[in-house]
Amino acid sequence: MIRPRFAFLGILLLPGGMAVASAPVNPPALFEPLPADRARVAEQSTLHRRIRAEPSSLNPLLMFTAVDAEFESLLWDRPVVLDAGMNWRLNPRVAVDYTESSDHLSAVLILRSDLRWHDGAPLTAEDVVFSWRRIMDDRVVARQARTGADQIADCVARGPHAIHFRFKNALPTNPWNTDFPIVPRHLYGPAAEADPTLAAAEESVRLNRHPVGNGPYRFVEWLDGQRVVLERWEDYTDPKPAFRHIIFHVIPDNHAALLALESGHIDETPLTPQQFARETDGARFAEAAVKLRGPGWTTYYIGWNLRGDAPLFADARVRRALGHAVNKALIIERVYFGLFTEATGVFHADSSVGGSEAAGSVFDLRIAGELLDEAGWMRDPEDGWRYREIMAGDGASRRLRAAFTLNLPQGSQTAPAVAEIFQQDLRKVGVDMTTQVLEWSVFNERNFNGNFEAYFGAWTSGPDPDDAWNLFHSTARANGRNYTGYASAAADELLARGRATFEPEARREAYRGLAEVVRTDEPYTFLVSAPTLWAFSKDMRGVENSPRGPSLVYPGVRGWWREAK
Amino acid sequence: MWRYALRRLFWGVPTFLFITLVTFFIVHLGPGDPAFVSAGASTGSTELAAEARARLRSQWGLDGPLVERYVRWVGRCVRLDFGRSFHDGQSVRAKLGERFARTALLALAALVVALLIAIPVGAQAAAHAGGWFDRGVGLLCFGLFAIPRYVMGMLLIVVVGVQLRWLPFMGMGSPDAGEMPGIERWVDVARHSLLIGACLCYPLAAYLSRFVRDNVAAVLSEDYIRTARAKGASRMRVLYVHALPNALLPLLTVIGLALPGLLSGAVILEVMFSWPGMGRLMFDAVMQRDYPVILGASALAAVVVLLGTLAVDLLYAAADPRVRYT
Amino acid sequence: MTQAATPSMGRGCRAALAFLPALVIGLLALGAPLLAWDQPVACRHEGRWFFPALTAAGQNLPLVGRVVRRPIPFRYPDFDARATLDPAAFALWPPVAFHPDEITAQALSGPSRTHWLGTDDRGRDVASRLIHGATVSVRVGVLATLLAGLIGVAVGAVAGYFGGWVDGLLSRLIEATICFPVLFLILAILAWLSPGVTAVILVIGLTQWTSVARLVRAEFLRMASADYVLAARAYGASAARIIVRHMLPGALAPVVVTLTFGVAEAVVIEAGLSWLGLGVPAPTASWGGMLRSAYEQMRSAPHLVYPPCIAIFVTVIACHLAGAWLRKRLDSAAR
Repeated sequence: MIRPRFAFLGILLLPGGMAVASAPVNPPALFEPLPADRARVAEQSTLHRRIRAEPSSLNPLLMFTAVDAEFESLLWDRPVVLDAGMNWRLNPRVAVDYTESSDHLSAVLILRSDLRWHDGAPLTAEDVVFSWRRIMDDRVVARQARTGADQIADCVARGPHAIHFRFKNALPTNPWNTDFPIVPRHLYGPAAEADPTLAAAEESVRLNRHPVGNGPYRFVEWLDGQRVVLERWEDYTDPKPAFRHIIFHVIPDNHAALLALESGHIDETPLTPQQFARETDGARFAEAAVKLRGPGWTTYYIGWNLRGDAPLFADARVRRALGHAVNKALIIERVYFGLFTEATGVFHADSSVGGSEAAGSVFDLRIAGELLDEAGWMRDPEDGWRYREIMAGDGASRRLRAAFTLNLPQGSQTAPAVAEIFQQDLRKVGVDMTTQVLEWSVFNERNFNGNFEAYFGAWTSGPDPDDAWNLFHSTARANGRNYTGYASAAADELLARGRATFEPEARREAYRGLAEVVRTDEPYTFLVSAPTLWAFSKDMRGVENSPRGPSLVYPGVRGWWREAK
Repeated sequence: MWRYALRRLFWGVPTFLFITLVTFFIVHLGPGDPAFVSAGASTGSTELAAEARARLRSQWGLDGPLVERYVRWVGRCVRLDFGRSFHDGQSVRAKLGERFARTALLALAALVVALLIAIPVGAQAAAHAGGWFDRGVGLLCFGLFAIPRYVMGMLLIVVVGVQLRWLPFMGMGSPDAGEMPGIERWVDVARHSLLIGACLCYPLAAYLSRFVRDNVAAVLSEDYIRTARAKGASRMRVLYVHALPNALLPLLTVIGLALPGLLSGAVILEVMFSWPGMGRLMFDAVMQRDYPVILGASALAAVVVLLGTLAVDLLYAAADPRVRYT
Repeated sequence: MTQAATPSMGRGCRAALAFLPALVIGLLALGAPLLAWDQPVACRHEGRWFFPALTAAGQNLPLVGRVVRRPIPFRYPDFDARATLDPAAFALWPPVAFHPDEITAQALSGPSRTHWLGTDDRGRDVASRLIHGATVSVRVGVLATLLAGLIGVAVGAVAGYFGGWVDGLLSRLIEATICFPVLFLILAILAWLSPGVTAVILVIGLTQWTSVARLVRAEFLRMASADYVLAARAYGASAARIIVRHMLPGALAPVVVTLTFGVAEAVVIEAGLSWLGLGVPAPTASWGGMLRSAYEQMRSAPHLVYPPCIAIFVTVIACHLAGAWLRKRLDSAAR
């Protein structure tokens, strides 16, 4: 649907109508890589970044939020990195070699011999081993760090620069499981002895707010609630980043961030779909900034409770019927301003195991109605809703209405809008959906305890398809994100096969099979895929987009630069 | 009178304990697990395992019988140790101190401006009671007072902030405030606080000006005023030297009643303007189930209100010798 | 606090003028579907008469509402009146022919001939939502204030009549309620009950009773030593009888004034809670919710701000006018 305003812009393409131009999207200059000739680069300027909230902690063992990850990528260098193509690579700046045994149960990582911490102390294998021990220590609440690191059975230092890993199982993801944060033993060792949790004592708290890393930037100061300042570490050997200082401004509000970008106070900010489509077309924005749009791997979905609490969802036909009642095109157009794409299932179309066909259900209320009729949910002529006789455990039967509550997390502006469109379409099919917005803590608690009927969630695929284990495997019902309680022998087998196979083609086949099984069973209805939407100041260069955004990959922010005046 | 004050203070303690006890119970028995708050914000695809959450809970002191936990909390509270925030590990006392100072400063500034407007306007209206100025101001105050603060806030944001772009309306300072020299930084803070300050000020100004007007008008009809006029004193002198001071005493009461509410921070306004004050702190803490901050802030608010009502009563007793307390 | 701010009403202010705005808003709230609905007020369909919007309005009435049901086929969730009804047949449509939750083709459009006040970010008609928001606000305002009044009168009467340690205890309770962090109580109640109108009414009622209690207590303390009370006691009448039959009628007049102003406060609190996301849940139309949408759309659609602001303002003025008139009558009656 072309809105009048955009049609007007079409007229402007005529010569002489260039006066009011909207800000360009993905201008080539934005992506110009850091030139070899550093004379062009402004080496002493400051980058002003925006973060939505303060970091939870600057101790990489305890970090877990997306904001924390921004700091991690700049303050620390890890032996393994994720590049913009979502591939894992060995980081030559830190590691020299990585060799795995033929049975894939052990590996040796060789570090460079000239690594140092920001305070000058040498970085050795002992630091790596110490960090792993801390992560695996039950008393440290290492939420994010333990993922993957718990697949390592043992980790021993052989000499000052070699680490010997022994894995619990032979998995293709083992090389990536060696990617855990490394902290200096000479600082955290004594702190851990005094306070094993690394979070309670004064010294631990002080360390958590004054980190010592080994990356290209070092920590300068953290002004509570306002900003965190990083400074380039001049002893860092190549490649040296362009900006001298990076200041992270804490701006929770999206409006405020856009205003700050327009007035030049910050150099970049992520954009909401509404901002991208409607609030960045003016002359004011065009003078100061440009926009970035690229694919992203976050998918929004609705999870159906299969644990028996909601008899409505027991039958896969009903779930598929509900899937057919989602008007994705209207949702994308109305709620996401045409910027999102229809989801293709749990794996993104661009990922290594993604399918090219749109695996989502087609919007067809007639088919939805037929499926519901087939499943025994018939319309009542008295009030127009669908009802069914349900057999309870004790033999008595109840007459149940086709009604359920969809839980939405508070803080999402688009989830209620999506739900409302869905609600209107469901009414046409005779299903009564009510929505309930819950605060984060209550929302998560109810999901975890299975105390819900349906919930609206977001899933970000990682680089390895093995992540899907958490959504679909039967063991993930207790320990993972499988809140719906989905358990299918076929899916379990395919997931196990994908996890254990090393041959890429066979792996791909296993995961494609999983996608098929999941499409038939539809424990989740995948709705839309979110792109990466960002705004940068006009003079920013060297940006590289990735499905995780422009900053959370390697080299990411280290490659951004500005022209020298 | 000192006996009265001591007795009130004495009775304030069980009230304070009652408030904090009920808050404590509601906070800890209420739904929502603070360990789950952070889980929602995690990156990657795994979940915070049950054991990790249990560890967090024990680290935060959330295991053990409720009454015991409360007693321990009160014990620490007396030493002014409110613990550390679950959210970022900062000392709760430091956070409260910082936020309270800001809110108090803004509230007092709003109050002072309101008084600077209300007293002359009210006095003038009273001097010509029933005249066009009095009627007009009366109507204006009636209208202004009927506008809720956050409604005015929305209007100011949209008109002054977004469409006219005269003043900033988000947060307390520009992002580059760190690099500004002293004076500029203060000006920057003042500009950011103007709109929210105006929202706090106008209902006070409207109410107080009518209050002053009513009281001054009442005083102006007293005998001693007519005596002064008969003795040749000018209207101005009569108004400002004789009438006004007597009318100001009840004003103190009203201010005292309004002050606790002002000092607790206006939650909606602070969220609307993203202004980092006490109200915002409480709101964020409640949303994040940051128990130590919630309890600390409630305790502080309770103390402020209790002391405020006591101070008002005492002030009234001290200033007016006719008032007697049993 | 609201009492002194109102100006003295000019001479010749009639009761009608004071109560008219409040009455209009009350009628608006009760009869919202008659003014904004996606089905006609009255129509002829397949040879029979139907009154869908009228019955929908009937559902708003306090007791009768539970029994009233819209006629078949109008009560079906997927019935589209505009498409199904024969355009030639008689149909009396409400002035605003949109349902408050109805998602239309145009989103964020300004005032136009089809949508008199424009549409919001979901494409819903603003005028329709404004009218239906009145239903929520008035219901919450009146019921919450009644609850607060009930609690306040009870506590104040007991405290004022018995005096002594009972009064001491209840005064401490009043003080504690004033100091209590309201926000937290709201969240606790909202999480235990599901968010909705009932929860908001409870929250407001449980926190706003203190001013009434103080007033009643002061009145009762004053009246406790009056002759007729002492006489009734001497006759052996029970405390409850004395309170209800002899003392309460005299104390009620100022209470009614306070409660009238209290309705305005309750409406303001409800809209504020809805703005924060803690009040009436979406998609139910509420003025606070509309203000929130306007806040989120402030850059792209600032025109959304004015309707809810004006609605809240008018409602508050209506209550203040009525309250001021009542107080004037009270003062002159007392003299």
